[in-house]
Amino acid sequence: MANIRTENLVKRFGDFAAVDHVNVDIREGSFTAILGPSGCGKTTLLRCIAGLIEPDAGQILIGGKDVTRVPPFKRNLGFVFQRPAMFPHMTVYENVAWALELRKWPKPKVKDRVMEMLRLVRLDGLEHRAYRQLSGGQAQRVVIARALAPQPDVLFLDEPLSQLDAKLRDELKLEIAEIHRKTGCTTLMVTHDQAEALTIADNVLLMHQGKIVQEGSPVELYRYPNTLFSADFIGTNNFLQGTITGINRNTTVRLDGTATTLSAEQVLPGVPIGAPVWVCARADDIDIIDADQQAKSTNVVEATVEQALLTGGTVIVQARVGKTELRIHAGGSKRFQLLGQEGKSIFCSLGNISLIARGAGEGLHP
Amino acid sequence: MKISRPVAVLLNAYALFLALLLTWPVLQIVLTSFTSDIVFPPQHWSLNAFNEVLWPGLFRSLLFSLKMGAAVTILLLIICLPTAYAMERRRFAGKALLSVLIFVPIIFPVVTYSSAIRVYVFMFFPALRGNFWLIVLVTAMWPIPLVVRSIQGSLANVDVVYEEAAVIMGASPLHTFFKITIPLIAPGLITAAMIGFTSATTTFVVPFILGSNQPTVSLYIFGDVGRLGFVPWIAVEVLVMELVVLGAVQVLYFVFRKQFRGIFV
Repeated sequence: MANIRTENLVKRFGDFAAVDHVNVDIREGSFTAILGPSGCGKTTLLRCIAGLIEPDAGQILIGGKDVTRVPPFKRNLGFVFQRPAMFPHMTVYENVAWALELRKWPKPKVKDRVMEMLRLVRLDGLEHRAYRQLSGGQAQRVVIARALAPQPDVLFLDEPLSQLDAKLRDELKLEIAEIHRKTGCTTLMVTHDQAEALTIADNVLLMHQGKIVQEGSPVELYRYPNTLFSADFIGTNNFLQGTITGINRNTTVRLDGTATTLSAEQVLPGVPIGAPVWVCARADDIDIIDADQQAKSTNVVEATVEQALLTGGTVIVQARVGKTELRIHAGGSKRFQLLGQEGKSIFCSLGNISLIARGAGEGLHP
Repeated sequence: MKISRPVAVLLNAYALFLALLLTWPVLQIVLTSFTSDIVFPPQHWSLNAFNEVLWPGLFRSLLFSLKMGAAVTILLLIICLPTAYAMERRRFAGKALLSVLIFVPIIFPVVTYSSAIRVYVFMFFPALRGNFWLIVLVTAMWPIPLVVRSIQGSLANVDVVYEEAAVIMGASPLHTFFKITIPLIAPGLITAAMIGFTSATTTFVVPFILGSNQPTVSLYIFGDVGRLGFVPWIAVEVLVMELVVLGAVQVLYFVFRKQFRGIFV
C-alpha cells in the first residue's frame, strides 16, 4: 500500500496535451476514480502513473518515492486492463502464480496465495481452466486476482468493466468494491461511467481536457459541482440564471426575471451579494408538489409542462420556468398524474440546489 | 456472396486444374521412380531404379543439406525475430526505409547477389571459398523478407496488452519477450521456420555459386543429371529428397506444436 502524488505532470502527443500539469494527491488505501469523458486524458494519466507511458514533464511519487524514471517492472504495481489480458497460453492457476514465481516465492507459498486470491475473486475450483473455457467476466476476475497476488503497492483499473455486459458489470462493480474493502490496497480506477465512479470510489477526480477540474467524495461531486462542466457531466442538471440576494450560513438567490427566491446550503467563497450565479437543479432531485404544499416545501418554482414521457420507473418531464427549460425526472406514484398535462402549470420543489459563479452577461446554456 | 451454378462449376474446374498443375511434377517423379524407362504413360513398372541409386553419396549430401537447413533456420530466427519485433512494436528513425530495403533480397535474383559475394568476398578473403557458414549466411538472405513479414504478422495479431501486463507484474522486457511474446507468436514462428528450412534444405544456387565443398542434395542430383541425363534412379533421388524434407518439416511442426499446446486451438 502506498499513496500517490503527481506534480505538474505533463504528457503531450504532438501539440496536444493529453495530461496538462496535473497534480493529484491520492491517500493510501483509498479507492480513487478518475472520471471524465472519452479523450479527456484519464487513461494517459493512469498509464503515466503506472509507468507504461513516460511523461514529458513533472514528477510521480508512489509511497513518497520518486518513480518518474523508474521502469514499470520495478514499481510493484498491479494493473487490470480494459481489454482481456489473461495470458491465453496459461491456465487460471498459472496466470495468478506468474508474478509470484517471477518473485521466486517458494512453491507452497505460491499455492496458498493463488488459492487465497482465487477465493477472493470467487474462482476457486476453476484453477485448471484454460482461457477459452472462461466467460469474459471470469477472465477479468483472473486478471484482478493476478494483479493483486504479489501484494502490489497500488492497483490500477483501466475501465475494467467496459467490455462486459450490463448485468455482469453491475455484479463485478460491487465485487470490486468488496475486494478493495477486504484488501485495503490503494486503488486507482479510470472510468467514463459516472455511476461506476460514484458507486465504488470514495474519492473522485473529475478530469476534462487534460486537467483535473474537481476532486472530492462522490457526494461532494454530486451535490456541489464547482464548474458548469462538473454540473453538466454528472447526472442530468438544469441551469437557471439567478442573482445572490443574501448570504449567511446559506445563500439566497433570486431567479432572474422572476420574484422567486431560492436557498442553497452553500456559500460560494469570494462571491458577493448581487453577483450573478448559475442555479443548478438536478432533474432527479425535483419533486412535483400540490399547490397547497408550497409553504411546506423548499425552493418552489412554478413551471409549465411542455411534454411528459413515461419511461417506466420515471416520467421525464420537459417543462419551462420563464424562458428556461426545466427537465424533471419524476418518480413515485404521483408520476402518472403528469402524463397528458401538456400546457398545464405545476409546482416543483427543486430540492437541494447548488450554485456556480457566473460571469456578468454570461447567459448561454452550457 | 452467392454465385451462380455455372460460375461455381467453372471455379471448381479451375481449382482442380491449379491443383494438378502444382502437383504434376511431384506425381511425375513418383511415377518415374517406379518405372524402368521414361515414357508417358508408364509402361514397365519396376523397382530397379531403387537399386541403382548410390545411397551413401545421396545420404551424405542429404545430411549436409539438413545440417545447412537447420543452421539457416536458426540464423534466420536470430536475424528476423528482433527485426520483426522492432518493426511491429517500436518506432525508430529509418523504419520506413528498412521496411522497403528488407525486400531487396527477394526482388533481385539470388544469382545476382550470390555472384557479387563470390566476386568481392573471395577477392579479399580467398580462404572463405567453400566456407560452410558463408554459404549458410548467403542462403539465409533470400527468405529474410518472408520470415520477417510472417513473424510481424503474428505479432500484429497478439495484443500488446499481454506484454504490458507482464511488465507491470515485474517482468523485465527480455523476460517478457521470451515467456510471453514468443509463446504467443509460436504459430507464426513455426510457419516462418518451415519456410526458411524448406528453402534452405533444397537450395541450389547459393552453394553452387559459392562452391560448397560437400555438395548439397540439390547439387548432388544436378551433378547426376549433368552426367547421365534424366534416368529413373534420379527421380528416386528427388523423391527421397522431397520425402526427407517433408518429413523434417512435419517433425519440426509436431515438436513445436506439442511445446505450445493451448495456442493451437
